[in-house]
Amino acid sequence: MSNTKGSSENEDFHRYFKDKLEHWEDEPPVDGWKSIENVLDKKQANLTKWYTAAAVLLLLVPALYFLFTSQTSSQKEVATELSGSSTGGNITMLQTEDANSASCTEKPQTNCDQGFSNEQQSLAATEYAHNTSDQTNTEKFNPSTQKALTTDIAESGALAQSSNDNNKFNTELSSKKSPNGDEGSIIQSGAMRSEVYTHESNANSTSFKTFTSETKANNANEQNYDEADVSAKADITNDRDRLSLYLEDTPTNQLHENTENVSKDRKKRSEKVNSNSQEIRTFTDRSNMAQSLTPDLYDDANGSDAENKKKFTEKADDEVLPEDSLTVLKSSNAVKPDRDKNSSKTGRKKPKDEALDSVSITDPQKKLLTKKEGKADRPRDNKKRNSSSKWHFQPEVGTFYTFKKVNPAKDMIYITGFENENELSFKNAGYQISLKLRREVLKNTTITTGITWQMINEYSNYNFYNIIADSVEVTQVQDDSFDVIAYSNEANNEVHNTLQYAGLSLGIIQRVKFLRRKYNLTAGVSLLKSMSHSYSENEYRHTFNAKSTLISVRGGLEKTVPLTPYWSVTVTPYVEQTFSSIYTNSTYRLSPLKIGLDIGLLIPTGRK
Amino acid sequence: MEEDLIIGCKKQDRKAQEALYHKYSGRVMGVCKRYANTMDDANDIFQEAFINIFNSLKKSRTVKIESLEAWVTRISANVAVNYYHKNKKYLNHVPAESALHKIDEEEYGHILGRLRGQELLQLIGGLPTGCKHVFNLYAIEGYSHKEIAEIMDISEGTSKSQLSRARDIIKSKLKLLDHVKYKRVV
Repeated sequence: MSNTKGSSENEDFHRYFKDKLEHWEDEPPVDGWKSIENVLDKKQANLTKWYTAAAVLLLLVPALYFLFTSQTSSQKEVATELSGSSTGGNITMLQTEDANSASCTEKPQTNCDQGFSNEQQSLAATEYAHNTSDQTNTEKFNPSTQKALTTDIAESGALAQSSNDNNKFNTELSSKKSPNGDEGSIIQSGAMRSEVYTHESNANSTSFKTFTSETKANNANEQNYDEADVSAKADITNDRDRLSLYLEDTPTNQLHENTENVSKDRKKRSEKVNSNSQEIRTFTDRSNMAQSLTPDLYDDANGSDAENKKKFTEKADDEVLPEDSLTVLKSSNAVKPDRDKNSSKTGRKKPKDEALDSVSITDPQKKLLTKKEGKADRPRDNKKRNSSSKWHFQPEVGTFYTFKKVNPAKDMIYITGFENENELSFKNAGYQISLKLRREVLKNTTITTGITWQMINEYSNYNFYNIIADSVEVTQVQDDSFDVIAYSNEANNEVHNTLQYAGLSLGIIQRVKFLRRKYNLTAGVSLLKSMSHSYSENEYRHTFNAKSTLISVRGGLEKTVPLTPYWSVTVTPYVEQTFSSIYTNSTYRLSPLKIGLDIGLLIPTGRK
Repeated sequence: MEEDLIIGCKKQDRKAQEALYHKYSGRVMGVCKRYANTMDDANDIFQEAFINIFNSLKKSRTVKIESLEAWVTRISANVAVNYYHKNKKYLNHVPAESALHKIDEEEYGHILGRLRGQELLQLIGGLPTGCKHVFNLYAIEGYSHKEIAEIMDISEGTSKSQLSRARDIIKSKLKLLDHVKYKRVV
């Protein structure tokens, strides 16, 4: 009983409070709404930041991916080309002491990234080992007389003496020389040098070249091409020389002394040349080339040797190298030894370009030298690579203007006209972002596919009245007839709606030639789905509901402008027609006709 | 009208949000003051309650709420409880006198006009935080002990004991205020 009474008392106690306080209201803070609004705005701003960051990330990640994919694949292509020995690169060959059995190995390029990124001058370096064999000669081997020749082809063609290190190195090489001298190899070395410099000169390369001629006795320094050839000829009967080219930048002031010494020895050598029964090979343009490369040295050395040179050149023209003499040539082309095997065996004259491009021989110590393709060659290769890429990634941004075709809708509103019918407004401008993949399927035909996001802005200012009359005036004209006059109040409404769509696009690009210019005609279809929409507060609260799915077709004209050897910019003006209305169950139906301009970036993926 | 407000708030229309604020701000503030220990806490709870209301409306799939006022009150009460629970302010209990004194200073004119209601609020405000919340939830919001236990993450027994303790404190306060007897309202 007491519990029941207590419980009842408690309930009364609670009810007393509840009745008084359940609907209790108090004064809110004066700036309550402002603080809440600030918090809401801040949240919205944070949300916008996240959306922006996500969009940027979405664009960056695939762009970077394709960028690096493209770069890697281009490096692979370069490596492939190197193996083909046609464009130069980093090739290392191993030459045995016996020139007849010269073999080569190719080492992969290890600094390809750096070489391609920093736009350095390409270097071509070829090393010849020119050892002399002491079979019949009366001259003694003298390592101290070894000299190196350094030539800066691009700048002056001056020859330079190699450093002491190179001399020492060649001394070591000489000590390892084969006991079996190979006649003819020297001639080839001379010819090879000519070939190398011809090649470098044609390529406008700024390569630094140094070659050292190890000879015996007084053949220390034949430092221009004629001298090199003549000395080589002289060594045919006696010596097996090893010519070496090193990457070296050495002063050239000692070369003049060398050339004087060589001139003095030239008579002796030329006699040996004349007595040489070996078939030799040279190039007819050797003298001119050498002169152009090293004019000063050429003049110095040429005066005393003109006669011999003439004889030698005449004899050497149109000659075929004997089997032995092609050994080094074989080595020089030994990047693909199988291909060169026949020519070296048969003594067939090697194609000049092929021989020039691939000359690169290392010493037995496998010294690694670099040979990079010339700067002038690179854009051509890049263009080739670019054009050969069938897959392209294309991020695209654009803006468009929406023209409206308004149809009456089933509503209780009659629109009498649009106030902004003939005026252009930025409120009707929309934006578009696309990420596309393109693939060339035929020679002039490319298909594209991708994802598209677009924001359609629609601004309308229209006059209307309600179908149901505001008032009706009925007048009796006669006994059985009435005049009924309905009155409706015409009003003006202004709406600014924003609709966002995203979806898939599929298109085809056909390259056509018109008025001697090539254009890309584009056609495509898009399937878009409504993502979000916002409607402005209109006075009469007319309803606008976005249609969930849109299908539109577009046609345009694409112009590609090369931006870099890899990338191109595409500019595409287009017209796009949407099949259905973007509104459903709304005051009016609106089928947008968009005229826009897309600007894209064409990035080859590097896959052929 | 309420439906329009809800639709507007779902679209995050600022005007609709402002309209809803002006309509229920007094009601929410009344709830906040009942639960808060200080005016600062009441203002914080007030702001948090409205942010919570707008977020809930935005996420809500329906536009029909049986009683928007009751829904707003319920959310405000939950926010207030969570505010102290989250900030662990049960431990930093502010003496009731200071809070009441502050109210006295700021709203003296209102107290005169609403003497009885304000007196009751003072009495509730003088309760320890835990007791106050249980009393508010049980006696005014109409929650059961089970629901209170879930909301406040306490046991039902604790809820009952807190309620009993709250009643005792209020009665003792009423004696001090010379409201010795209370009548049963018929």
